[in-house]
Amino acid sequence: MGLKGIVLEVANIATAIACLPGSYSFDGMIFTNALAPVTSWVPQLNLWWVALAPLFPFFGFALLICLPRELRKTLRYVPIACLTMSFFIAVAAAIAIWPGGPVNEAFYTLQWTLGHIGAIPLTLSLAVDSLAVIMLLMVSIVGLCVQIYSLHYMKDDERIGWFYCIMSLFLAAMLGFVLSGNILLQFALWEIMGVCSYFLIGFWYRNKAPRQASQKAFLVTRAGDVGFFIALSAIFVAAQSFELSQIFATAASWSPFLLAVVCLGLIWAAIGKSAQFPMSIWLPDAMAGPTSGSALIHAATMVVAGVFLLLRMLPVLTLYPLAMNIILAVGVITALYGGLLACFQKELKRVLAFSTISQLGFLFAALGVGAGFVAAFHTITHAFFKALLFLAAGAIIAATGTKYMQEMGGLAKRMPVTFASFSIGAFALAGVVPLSGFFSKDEIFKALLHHGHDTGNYLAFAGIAIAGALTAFYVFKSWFTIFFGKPQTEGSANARDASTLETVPIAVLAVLAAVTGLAVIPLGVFLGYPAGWPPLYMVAISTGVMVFGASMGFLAYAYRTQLKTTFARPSYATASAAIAADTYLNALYQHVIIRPYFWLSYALWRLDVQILDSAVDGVTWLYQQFARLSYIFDVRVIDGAVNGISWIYVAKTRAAKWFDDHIIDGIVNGASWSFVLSSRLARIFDVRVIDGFVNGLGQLSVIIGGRLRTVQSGEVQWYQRLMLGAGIVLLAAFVIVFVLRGL
Amino acid sequence: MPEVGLVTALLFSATLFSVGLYGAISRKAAVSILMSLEIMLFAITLNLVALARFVPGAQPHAWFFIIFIMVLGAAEIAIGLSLVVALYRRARTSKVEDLRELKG
Amino acid sequence: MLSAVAFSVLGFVILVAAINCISAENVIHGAYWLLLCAIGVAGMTWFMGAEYLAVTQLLLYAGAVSILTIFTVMVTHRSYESACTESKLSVSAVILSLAFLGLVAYGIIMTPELAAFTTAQEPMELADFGAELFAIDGHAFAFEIASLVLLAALIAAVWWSKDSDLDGERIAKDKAARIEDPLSEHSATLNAPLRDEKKEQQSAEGQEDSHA
Repeated sequence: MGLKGIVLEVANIATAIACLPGSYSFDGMIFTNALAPVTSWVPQLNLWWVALAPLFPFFGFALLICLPRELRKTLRYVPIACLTMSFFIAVAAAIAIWPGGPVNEAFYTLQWTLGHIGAIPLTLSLAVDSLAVIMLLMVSIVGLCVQIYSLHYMKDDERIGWFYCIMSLFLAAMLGFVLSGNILLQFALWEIMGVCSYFLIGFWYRNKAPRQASQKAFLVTRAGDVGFFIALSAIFVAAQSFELSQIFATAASWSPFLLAVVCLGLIWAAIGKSAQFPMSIWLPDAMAGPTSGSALIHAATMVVAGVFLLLRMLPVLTLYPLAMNIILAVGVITALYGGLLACFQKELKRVLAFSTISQLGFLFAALGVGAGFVAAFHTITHAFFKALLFLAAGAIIAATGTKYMQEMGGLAKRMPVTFASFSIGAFALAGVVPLSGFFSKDEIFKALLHHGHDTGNYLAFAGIAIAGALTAFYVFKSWFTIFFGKPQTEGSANARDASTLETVPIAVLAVLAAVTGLAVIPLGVFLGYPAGWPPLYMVAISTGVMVFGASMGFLAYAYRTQLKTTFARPSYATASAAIAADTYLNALYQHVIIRPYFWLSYALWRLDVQILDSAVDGVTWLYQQFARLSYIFDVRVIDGAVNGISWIYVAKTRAAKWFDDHIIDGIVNGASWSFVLSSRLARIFDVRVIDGFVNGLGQLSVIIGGRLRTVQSGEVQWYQRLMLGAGIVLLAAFVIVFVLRGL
Repeated sequence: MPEVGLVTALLFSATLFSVGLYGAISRKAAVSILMSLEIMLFAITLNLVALARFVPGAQPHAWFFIIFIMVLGAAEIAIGLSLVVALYRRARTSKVEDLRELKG
Repeated sequence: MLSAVAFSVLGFVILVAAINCISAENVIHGAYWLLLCAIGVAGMTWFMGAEYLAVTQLLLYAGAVSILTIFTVMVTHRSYESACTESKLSVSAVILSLAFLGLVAYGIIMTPELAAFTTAQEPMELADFGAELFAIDGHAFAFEIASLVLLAALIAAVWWSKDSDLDGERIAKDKAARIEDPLSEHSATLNAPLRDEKKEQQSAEGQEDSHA
C-alpha cells in the first residue's frame, strides 16, 4: 500500500469523521474531481483537507488578535503549532498527488457559490494542483523556520504577540493565494498580504524610518494593485467568471483589446508587488522592519506573490507576445539594476534587499520566455537561500551590533555555525556548483539561450549573464568582508553564535538550500516538465560567469584599502553614495510624480480661490444690485402710494374723531362709572379669596420644582436614560396589550 | 444543514440592537455614541432583511426601507460627525459629559 | 442558503465586534471594530439573499462611514490620552438595555405568527426592484425626498464643520505666502529622506576613516 495509501486512508477516515463523504455537495459547496482516480486502489481523490492549510494559520491570527497583549505574548506558540499543521497538510498533499501532474490541472477543486451577479454565479474556489502543493510546502517550511527563529530573535519585544499575529495572517494569505483557483480570491488575499507587509515593515512604528518605509511600501504596492483591479474587471468582462479554469478555457477567444488589458494589468500588478524596475523603490526601505519579517517578505510571501501571479496566468500571458517581451525586458533590466546597486551597498541587509530585486528580475526573465517550471524552481531555491541569508544576517547584526559590513570582519572563527550556513546561502545565491542556486540559475540561462535566436534574445541572455557575474561579485565581496580579516569593532570581536533557537532554523534552511537543486529531476516530474541535468556547456558558461564575478569580488576585497582611497575622491564618493541610496530612481519619482502632484493640487487650489470664489463674489454682487434696485422701487413707488392712501385715511379719521368726542364719550362715561363701582366690590373678593389660593399653588410648585431640579442634571446621558426608561415603560405596556390580545 | 428561521434572526438583531443601545447610553465620547447608533442601524437593517426573506410579499417594501435607512444613516453620520468636529472646535472637548449647559 | 453554520459564525463575529466597539477604551480601536461589524453585517445580508443590499452595505458602511469615523477621530482626538475614555460597566444602562432586550424578545417569542414563516422567499430580481423603486406609482417620490435629505445633510455637514476663522484676510495671507513657492511647506519633507541618507553615508564613511 505504501506511504501514499496510508495518507489517503487517513484522509478518508478523517473525511468520514467530518461527515463529508458521499454526496460531495453540502451547503452551497460543490466538490468535483477534475481528474479520474489515479490508481485503482484509491476510490476517489478527496483532498478537501488541503483547504485547512491556509485555515490553520488564519485561526492562529483570529485567536491572537482577540486577546490582550500579555496573553497574546504567552500564546505566541499557537501560530507555530498552526503552521506546523499546515506543513504536515502540505506534505500529505504532496504524497497524495504523487507523482504530480502538469501545472494548472487541478486534482481537486473545492468550489463555493457565494451568490449570483445577474445570472452569473459568483464563486470562490480552491484548486489543488502540483504547483500549489509545491508552493504550500515551500511557504510553510520557510514560514516555520522564520517563526521559530523569531522566538529568540524578537524575545525582548513586548509586542512579539502582535508580530506573530501578523505573520500568521501573512502566511495564511500566502498559503491561500497559492491554493486559490479563483482570481477574485487571489485579489483579496493579495490585498491582505499588502496590509500585512505594511504592519510588518512598520512594526517599530515609534521610529520615523520604519513608519515612512511602511507607508512607502504600502503606497507603491497599492499603485500596482490598481493594475490588478483593472485586469480583474477585464477578466470578468471577457470570461464571465473569476474561475481560473474558466479563464484558461476561454482566453483564446477573448478580444485582442481585453487580452491586452488583462495582460498589461497583471504585469503592472506583479511589477509593483515583486518590486521590479520602475516600482522597486519600496523594497530597500522595507529593511527598516524586523529582520525575520524581512525574511518572510523577501523569501516566501510578498514578492513571491507577484511572480506566482504571472506563473499562474502564464497560459493567458503567452497568448499576447508583447506582454511576454515586456516581462522579459523588465526582468533583465531589474536583474542588472538590482545587481549593480547591490555592489555599492555598505549595509548587509541592503545588499540582500537589492539582491532580492535582482533575483526577482531573473525570475521575470524566465517567465518572459515562457519557462514556467524554471521560474517555479528558482522561486523555491531562492526562497530557501534568501530566507537563510536574511536569518543569518539578522543573527550577525544582532551579534556584532552594527549593520555596516566594514565594521564586521573575522566572524568566520567567532560564529562558526552562522558562517557555515551563510556560506551555503551565499554560494547558492552566487551559483556555486552543487548548490541549489546553481541548478536553478542554470535552467534560467538555458531557457533564455534556447528561447529564440534574434538580437533581443541574445541581448537578454547577455544581460542575465552579466547580472549573474554581478551577483557573484557582490556576494563574494560581502562574504570576504564579513567573515575574514580582522574584526573592525569591539562588537565584532566579541560576536558569538546565537542561541540554538536561532541557529537550528538557519541550519535547516542551509540544508535545504544545499540539496534542493539536486532534486531538479523529481521536481520536474512533479510539475510535469521534462527537466534534466544541465548540459556540460551550460555548466561551463555559468561556472565561468560565477568564477569571473567571484574573482572580481575577491580582488575588490583584497584591494579594499586602495579602492577606498580612490572612492574617497569627492566626485566618486558622491556618485557611489547616491547609487547606494538609490537616489536616482527616488529623484525620478520626486520629479515625475510627487512634484507634478503638488503642482496640480496648487493649481486646483488657485482655481478654487481665484475663479470659483470670484464667481461666487459675482453672484453676490448681482444679488446686491438687485436688492438695491428693489429698494429704490420700494421707496419711490410703493412708499408714495402708501403715503397717498394714508393721507385719505387721516382725513377720514379726523371726521370720525369729532363724532367720537361729542357723542360716544358721553355714553361711555356713564357706563364706566357703573363699572368702576362693581369692580371695587370684585377687588375685595379677589384679594381675600383668589389670591390666597393662587399663592398657595405657587408655593406648592416652588417646593415641587426644588425637588425636581435635581433631575435636570444637565448630563445628556441622564436625559437619554430617562427618555429610554419612559420608552421602555410604554413598550412594555404595548407588548403586554399586544400579547394579551393575541392570546 | 438546518436553515435559520425568522425568530432566530429577529432575536439576533434585537440582541445587536441592545448592544448598540447600551453603548449609546453609556459611552462618554461623542464619536462612540455615534458608532453605537450605527450598530443600532445595523440591527434594524438585519431585522428588515430577515423579514424580507421570510414574510411573503414583504420583499420590495423591506428592501426600500433598508435603502432609506442606509440613506438616513449616511446623513446622520455625516451631520453627527460634523457636529462632533464643530463641538471640538468650540468646546475643545468631544466628551458629552463635559457639556452641562442644560443644567437646571 | 443561510445555514446555521454561516449564521452562527457571522453572528459571533458581529456580536464580538459590536461589543468590542462599544467597550473599547480607545476610540480608534472602536472605529476599527465597527468596520469589522459592518463587514459581518454585510456578510449576513449577503447570505440572507439580499446580495445587492450587502454590496451597498459594504460600500456605504464599511467603505465610507468607517473611514469618515476614523478621520473624525483623528481630527478630534489628536493625542492618545484624549482618545481614551474609561469604559466602566454602567449598571443603569445595562438594566435599561436588558429590559429592552427582554421586552422585545418576549414580544417576538409570544407572537406565534412569526414562527409560522419558515420558508424562505425567492429573492427578487434586481431589475424588478429597480423598476419598482423608480416607478411613479412606486417609491419614486420617497426616493427623491431621500435625495433631498442627503443634499440637506451634505450642506449641513459642510456648514457645521466649516472653519469659522477662515475669513478673507486669512485666505489672502495664505495666498501671499504660497504664491512664492508652492512647495515651501513640503520641500522639507520631500527632501528629508534623501538628505538623511546622504548624511548617514557620509558619517559612516567618516567613521571608517577614523578606524583606518
